[in-house]
Order: sequence, then structure tokens, then C-alpha cells
Amino acid sequence: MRHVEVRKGAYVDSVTLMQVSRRVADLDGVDAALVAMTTDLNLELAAGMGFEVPAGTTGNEMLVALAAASEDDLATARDEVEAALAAASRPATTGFGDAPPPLTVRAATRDLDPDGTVALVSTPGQYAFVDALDAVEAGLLTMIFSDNVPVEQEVTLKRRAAETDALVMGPDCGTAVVGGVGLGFANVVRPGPVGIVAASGTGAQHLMSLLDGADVGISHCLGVGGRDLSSAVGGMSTLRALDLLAADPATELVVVISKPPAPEVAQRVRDHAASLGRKVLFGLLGAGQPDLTATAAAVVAAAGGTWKAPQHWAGAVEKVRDSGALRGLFVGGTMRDEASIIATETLGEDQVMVDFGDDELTRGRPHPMIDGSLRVERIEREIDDPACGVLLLDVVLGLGSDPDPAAGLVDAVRRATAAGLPVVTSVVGTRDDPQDLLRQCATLTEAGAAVHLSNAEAAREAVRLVEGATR
Amino acid sequence: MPPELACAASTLTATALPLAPEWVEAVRTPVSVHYASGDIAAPVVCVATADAVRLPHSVVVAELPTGSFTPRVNRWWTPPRPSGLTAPDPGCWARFAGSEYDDVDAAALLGRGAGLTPDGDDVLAGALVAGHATGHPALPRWRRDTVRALSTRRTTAVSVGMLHSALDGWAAPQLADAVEALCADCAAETVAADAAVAALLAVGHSSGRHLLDGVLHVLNTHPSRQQGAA
Amino acid sequence: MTQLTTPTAVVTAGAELLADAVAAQAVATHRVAWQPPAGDAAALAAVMADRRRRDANERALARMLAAEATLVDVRPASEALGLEPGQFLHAGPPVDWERASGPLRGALIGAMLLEGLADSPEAAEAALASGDGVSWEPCHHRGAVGPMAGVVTPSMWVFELRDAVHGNTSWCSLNEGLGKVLRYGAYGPEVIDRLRWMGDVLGPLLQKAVRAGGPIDVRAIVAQMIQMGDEGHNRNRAGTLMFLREVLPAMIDSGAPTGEVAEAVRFVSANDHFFLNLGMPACKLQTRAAADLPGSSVVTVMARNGTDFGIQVSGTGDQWFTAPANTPEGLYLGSYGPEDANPDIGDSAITETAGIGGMSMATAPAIVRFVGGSVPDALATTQRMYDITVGENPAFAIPILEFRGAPTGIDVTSVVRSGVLPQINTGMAGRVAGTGQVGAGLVTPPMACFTQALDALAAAV
Repeated sequence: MRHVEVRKGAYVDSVTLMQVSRRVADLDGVDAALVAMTTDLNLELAAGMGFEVPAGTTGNEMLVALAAASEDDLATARDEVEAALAAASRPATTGFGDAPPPLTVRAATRDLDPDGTVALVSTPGQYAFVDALDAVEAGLLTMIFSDNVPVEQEVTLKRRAAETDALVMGPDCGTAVVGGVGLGFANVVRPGPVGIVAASGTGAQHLMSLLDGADVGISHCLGVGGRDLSSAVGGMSTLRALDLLAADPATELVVVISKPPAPEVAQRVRDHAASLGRKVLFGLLGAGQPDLTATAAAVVAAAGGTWKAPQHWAGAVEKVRDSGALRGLFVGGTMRDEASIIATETLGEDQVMVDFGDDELTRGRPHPMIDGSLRVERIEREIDDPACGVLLLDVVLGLGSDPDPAAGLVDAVRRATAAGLPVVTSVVGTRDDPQDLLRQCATLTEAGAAVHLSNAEAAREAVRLVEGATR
Repeated sequence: MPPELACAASTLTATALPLAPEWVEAVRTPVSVHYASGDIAAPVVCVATADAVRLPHSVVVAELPTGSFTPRVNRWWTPPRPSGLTAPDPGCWARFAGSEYDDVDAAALLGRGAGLTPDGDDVLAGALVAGHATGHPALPRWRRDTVRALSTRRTTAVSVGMLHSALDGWAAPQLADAVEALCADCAAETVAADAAVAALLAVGHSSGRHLLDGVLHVLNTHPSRQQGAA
Repeated sequence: MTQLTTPTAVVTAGAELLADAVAAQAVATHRVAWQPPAGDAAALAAVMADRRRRDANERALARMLAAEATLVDVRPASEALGLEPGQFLHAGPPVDWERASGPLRGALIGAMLLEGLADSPEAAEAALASGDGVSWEPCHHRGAVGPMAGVVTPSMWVFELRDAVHGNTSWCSLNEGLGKVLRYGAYGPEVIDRLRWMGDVLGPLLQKAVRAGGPIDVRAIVAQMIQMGDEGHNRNRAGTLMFLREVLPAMIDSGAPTGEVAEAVRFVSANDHFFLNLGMPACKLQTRAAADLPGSSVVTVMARNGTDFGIQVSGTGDQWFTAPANTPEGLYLGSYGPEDANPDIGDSAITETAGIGGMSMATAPAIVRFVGGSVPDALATTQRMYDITVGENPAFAIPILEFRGAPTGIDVTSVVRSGVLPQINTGMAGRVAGTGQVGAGLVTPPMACFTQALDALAAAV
């Protein structure tokens, strides 16, 4: 029994829709359930699940696709969709004289003190500009989690921010820590002397996790968005973030994390950093540059701490599968890039390295750190593909992420290792993260995966396995 | 296992948090609960809402717990601890003067007066924080006497927590801000000092007043500012 | 923001999960109930990014708050507005006979009869349909406003209000009362007789009173009525009595026969809506002060002709953005029902454009049931309107909201972003020409007016 409908004028954010889909799919007698906005990706997903996909949708409607064992089960599933959507939209009760919830960022910021207020914008990319502009015009520290924001809009926002004393963190800024408060995907870190300026969200998460593991705390971590140091944007947010950290009494040492910037921007940032009177380290993510683990070691040394190599646990399969190649399936873009650079150095350019957090794969869907199901499907396919010799994965913990990512991976990892396919995983997280770092590692090792707290070391182990086979 | 309670914890409470299921509730106010923790480093932990005075040994929550709980720390923060400051010219802050004291005598002050934090305890805490901030040479003696008084005399759990933090110079933001403002250039910073002192005086019913008395006593009698000092 | 501190509040828009993650750290979240904006995302981005927008909107608001409205004279429309025989004004955006609604047709027929241009409704209709020797245009084109059908003929007397600060003048006819009246499309003999009496007796008497008593500060009366349970669109009871208080001594002193004075006073005091026709031109002066500011997205006109709803926006001058008018929902008089109601009609939405009327529904709990609402609805509605306005008008303070000013300066960008349309509180005319009023209720403009305006503003960036 199948049911497919398209609802117009019904908007619910993609994370909530995922939760609704899950709740319905968990019912007995329901074979499949997809409640999602009608983006191309979601329509393909529905088609892949065997649903007849309606034509002529615009991407702004809600798709409800259900498959159940019987008419009764289907009816139950439809009722559950209604109940779950109703619960998710939970209209605010407006009592006698209570102000209703604000509908725009402008309305929400009207009565707040700009000095203590931060805006966190995660609306769909084509709209995020206007929401962020409200916050920038109010002079707020403005984090734009949304991706798919056009670069010219980014430039407009950052220029405007310079006039209003705002700071634009983003777009596509996945993580930030401001005065200890984690925003977006944030790891729970202890306060300390290191201030971070990051053009890479997962890079910042990895660095913070490694520093926390070495007992070096964080004052602030200011994301600037992956394009900030391009020549189009010119490092506007990076320069402002450096100024703010230099003026911050809690910050003793600053680290800038980025892909190698455009040359003229790099010069400007270095010159500016040299004028601040604070020690500034650069962690550039690129071929021939130190990896994040090496950068973390340098920061720990500069902060006067003691560096210990990050922990790791051996996996159950020690040999690469016959003549197979390395396949990297990542939720963190920087994790992917770092592994890719390490693999390319030894194995050459032809490595399959997928970032499931890429713009293309997150349109109308939650980020894979929240919903790892696309990657699990891909792992299942790789197990059946003899060309895949070793799987390299990452797991990213922290606030906002999947409450138990290892649980979502463990079945697939167990099947892979049982099939003789080695799995190497890096786990990015701190001892205080809500998912429990050590338990996550244990779950994955028990399923047969090799686990590293350093992403670079995980990549090196996977490379060694492939190399061992070709030698 | 008791239910989890999402919170933002002061780093001073880190060693006490694992013992949370065993904590004993000592004092409850509408905005805070003070627990005897059984931990030596942080013998009292204050679980408080964002509206409460942010004591240095606080754990901030959205809603106060009613029974046993397991803290789920989603954020760590470090309380303020003024240090390396220079005491102002004597008489600089005469306009803020309140009760005067001959000495910081922990044995005489501890537990004296009314309130959740007896007046004498507030004076003592203000003096300890100001003493730490300005490196007062008598600070070691005050600390010793306070530790001794705490072990031999009774006062409220709220005071025990406050004094324990004050021994190492940790302060609530209002107290820390006032100490810093009063040690700034007294000719130039009068507006800032007025604002900081007003904020401190607004703490509790009379706690702010007595904390300020302790601070002023230390600053006004600071040996680095006494005539004939080396 | 001048330095990095621990945030005391985080405003979130988008994924609830990220807001929950902040709340779990014991930090206050202010969550925006976000919806995708209506209209074209690129046009919205262009208008929002327009550097002139914020200042222009602030100026629009400042000019609205500074506008005065003083009743300076009462005279025939032929004199005041220069209307020639056969020229009529009507409510809303332009409309031809073909598309004109029942009530507008009825009012135009009545206008022909009143002016002696036809001796029967049929003859009037034929002349109007052929356009022979008659023409009509929106009141707004001459700076005037008219409730419901809003038809003004040369012989009708009009209030003349002046904004000395900005040098503008506005006009409105005298209110006829409720039931079978021209503005609701009725044109029977009692309608025409009443209009003749208004022209012969009431108009001249009011003229004498105003000229003798001196200018009357209409804005001050609006400010007071807002605190007395009138919202200025569907309830004008306090305003009417306060106006009467102003003109009564001069009417008595005018030397007119006491019978005429008594009849005029009886007429005005029996018509709770008499002040509407003074409040409307006062509102028109307020919004007109905000007109023609390049880059401003503030709405300066909302008006309906019974077929189309039209708006004008400051940054795009006198260009109309129109779409088919909605039909109000509310309560019906007697045995009338929804099938009898005509789509939304009248220039009276100028009150909402100026921030009163439905926008300030919270101040008029006495009439919320009359339009099919409840008191909590009214409170919620007005508080919701602050989301779509540039600011507040402290002169029109709403006591139950702690004297918060009326939500003022409807912003096109806020309307399309929030999906919240201005709340209008209105009377309902019968669909069939000649019926009159059938009820009262609530209505909103069509969103298409605002998305068109957005596109035009984007084109003007």
C-alpha cells in the first residue's frame, strides 16, 4: 500500500521533517516513510524508495510518501504524520496580552541589547541573506549556519557589518564558540587561552577536540565561512575576528584555520596579524602543510601545555580487501580534504573521497552529522563492491549532532568487517560532549573498526593498509 | 541513574560534579539551590537560574532541580578573579564609605549578623577578594584565619561556598567589577566606579553593602598607599 | 557589538535543533517562527540590500508621526476638489464599468440621480455603461478618500483637512449613517433625499460652525478616541461625540433655525460612524506625508473598489499594485449570509495604513464580537502587527498594551517575509447594486499586492 501527496504552503525545517519521517517509519507495518521538502534530492530519494514521484513541484512543497503493509497500517501512518507535524509546529499559546513569537529576526532583535545578543541563522540558503541582514543591521554577532548563500550576498553582509560593528560568521559556518557558548555543531570545551578563527567548521571542531584532549582550553572560536579568505570576500570577517580576539582579555594566543588563502588575502591577513601584539599561529589546510593534528601539537606547545599523541584503537581486519582501493566517506568537509591530501601524497590522485556535508547533498536535507542515513546506504553499497578495499570514515560529536552516531553506523561497520573489508574511523569529540566520546569509540571498535582520535592518523592507517596490499 | 539536567558549569565545580547524585540540599531560594557536595575542592555548589547572582561556584540551569539529578554539562565557564591591581589613593572613594573596621578578623566576623550570608561573612569575602586582587601582604593571615574559623564555627552553607571561593580570589561578577573599577584611575573613572558600585549594592538585601565595606576596608588601609610606606 | 562576551541571548531562525542545543547550555533563546517569504527571493534580497531602505523607512515613519490633521473647512466638492458636472470620484484603484462591483455601480447610479443626470436608475445605468458624458476616477488621485463605494459627486459637501507641516490637504464626504446608504450601493429615494438634505442643510451648517469656531485638531480627537475604545474604522462612537462637542456651540450660535440645528445634531449623534469621514482624511494626510521617498518600502495607500484591492508604496510613488479583493469574514445583519456579501470595498483601509482600525484592534474590545472575533484575538492581532510595521505612533497609544503606540508604517518587506498581512476591520456591502450594508467583519489584502510592490521596488533599486 502506498500513499504519495504533495502539500503546498506547508513549511517545516528539514531536521524536524527528518524526525517526523523517522517517527512514522518506526511504526509497525510501515515499510518506508519520507516526509520532506520537494527538493530534487528528496524527489530522487523518494524515487529510489520506489515511490511514484509527482511532477511539477517547485521545491517549496512538502512531500509525504508512505509505504505500508496494509490499508490499516497506511491509515495509521497517515495519522501519525499529522500528529507528528502538529506536535512539531506547536503553535505558541498566546495568553491574555502575551506577545506572540517573533516572525522575523528584525522583530526578535528589536528589544535586545546588541552587546549580549548573538544571532544564529540556519534558514534555507536562498533566504538566509535577509535574515542575516536584520541581525547585521542590528549590530549583532551574526552566525550564518546556512549554506548555498551566493557569494555576492556574503560580500554585501560583510561590508555592511563593518559599518554596524557586527561580525558575520559564515555563511556555511558550522561551528562557533563565543564566550564558552557553543553555536551550531559545537563541542563542549573548557575555557582557556586559545582563540580560534576558522574558515572551516569541522576543522575547528577537530582542532578544539585535540586541544581539549591535551587540556588546553578555548576562549572563543569564531567561524568566518569557507570563502572568507577568497579574493572575492577578501578576508573581511577574518580581519574583524582577529581584532576582536586581540582586544579580548581572555585570549592569549590566536590560531587561524583555513584552506590556503588567495595570495593577496594571505598577505593582508598576515600583515594584520603581525600588528596585533598577540601571538598568531596559522593552520593552513593544504598539500605540503602540517595536518590539523600537527597544528594542534604546535598550539599546545605555544600555550605551554603538554602534547600527547591522540588515542587510537586497532581494528579487527588487518588486511585490505583483494586489490581494492581506498574509499573515504565523510560527514566533515575538512576531514575529507585532510584525508584526501594524505592519501594523494602516497596513492596518487584517484581516490574516491565523498563529503556528505557538501552543498549538493544537503539541499533540503539535514546535515549528515544529524542524519547519517545517506552515508550508511553508501557504505552498504561499498561492502558489495569488490573494487572497495578499505573504508575510511569520520564521526563528529558535539552539541547539535546526532545524539548517538556510532549506533547508526555500527551495523554497517559490523557487516563490512565480517565481509573482510577493513574500516578505519576517526572520531572528533571531547570528553564533555553529550555523546560520550569513549563509549562512541568503544561501540565502533567492538564492531571491528580501527578508531583514531586524529583524523590524519586514521587516513595514514588506511593508506598503509592499501600500500601493504600493493607492495 | 537520576535524570540528566542540562547545565552550564563553572570550572570551579568540575571535581564536585561527578558526586552530584550524593549532594545534600542545604538551602533553597526561588532562584538557587545550594548543595553540600562532599568534595574538598568545591564543598558547596550553587545550582542557579540565569537570574540569580552568579556565584563563582555556580552551575547555571534553565529550571531548578527538585530531586536528585546527574549534571549534563553543555558549557563550561570561568568565573572572574580580579588580580594584579593597584590599590587607589586613600580617601579616593570616601563617598562610598559605610561601616568601618579595624581589621579583617575572621574569627570575629564569621557568622555575625543576619541573612543567608551573615553580614560579617560578606565583609570577609569582600576583603579576601580585594586582598587577592591587590596582593595585600596580610592576605595569607586572613586566609589562614578564615580556614580556621570555617572549621571551628558555624555559618550558613551559602556563606561557606562564597568564602571558599573568595579564599582564592574568585568573585561574583558584581563584586569583581566593583573591585576592578575601584582600583582604576580614581580621577578618570568615576562614572564607571559609580555604576559598578551601584550594581554591587543591588546584590541581595544587604550583602552588596557589606561586600563593599570589606573591599573598601582593604583598599583604604592598603600598606602600599599608607604614608611612610616603602 | 564592541567586544566578545558570553552571550546573554541568542536569536535563532531556522533549525529548532540548533536552538535546542543553545538552550541546553542555559542560554536564553529567542526563536523566530520562521516561514519562507512570499514572492521572489531575488527581489526580496535586492530590496533588503538597498542602502536607501532603512533611512527612507525611518524618514517615512518620522513624517507620518509629524503629520498634522486639522479640519479647516466644509465645502461642496465642486469647489474643493474642482469636480465638474459628470465627474465622480470613487474608492479604491481605477476600475471600468465592466468590472465595477454591485455596490460601486449602485453608488454611481445614485450619483447620477443625485446630480440630476438621469431620471431613472435604468437611464443612469445606460449612461454609465456607455460612458456618455460621465467619468470617474479614484478619490486617491485627488488626495481624497471615500468610505465603501466612496462615490463623491460635485454637489456633495466634503470635509477639508490640512497638514500644515507637510503642506498637504485631504477631503472626505460627510457620513450618511448606516443601513441603506449610497456608500453601500443603495440608491432608493430615501437615499437621494437624505443626500439632498445633507447638501442643503447639514453641509452649510457645519461650514458655518467650522468657519466661526476655528480649525479643529482632528488628530487630537483620534488620539483620544483610541484611548476610549474606538479603533477608528469600525467603531467611531467616542470620536463622533467629541467632534460634536467641538462644533456644537458654533452650530447653536450660527443663527440657523433651531429646528435645523436640532435635526443636524440628532443626525450626527444618531450615527456612530459620523467621525469615520474625519478620521479617514486625517489618516490620508498622515500616510501622504510618507509618500514618494525613494527606496522606502512603506505602504502609503491601501484601498479597494469592490473588485480589486490596490496598494501604493512610498518608494514607487502613485503606482497601484492590484489584485482581486478578498471577501470579509464576519457577522451578518438580519438574514443576510456570506453569499450576499460583496468583496472588500472602500478607501477606509487608509485607517489601517495609518496604524489604527484593524491594526489597533486591541484597543476596541467592545466591538471584537461584532466582527466575529474575541478579545484575546484582538490583543494577539495588534501585537502581531508590530512585526510588519516600521515603528509605533506614540500619539496613538493603546492603553491595554501598556500604552504602546499604534503599529505604524506597514513595510512591504516585512509583510512578504512574515506572511502576515495587515488586519483590516471593515463593513460589508451587499453584492447586488442597491442592497446596502449586509454585515461587518475582518479581511486582509491579497498577498499579490505586496509581492508586486516588492518586484517594483527591486526594479527601482
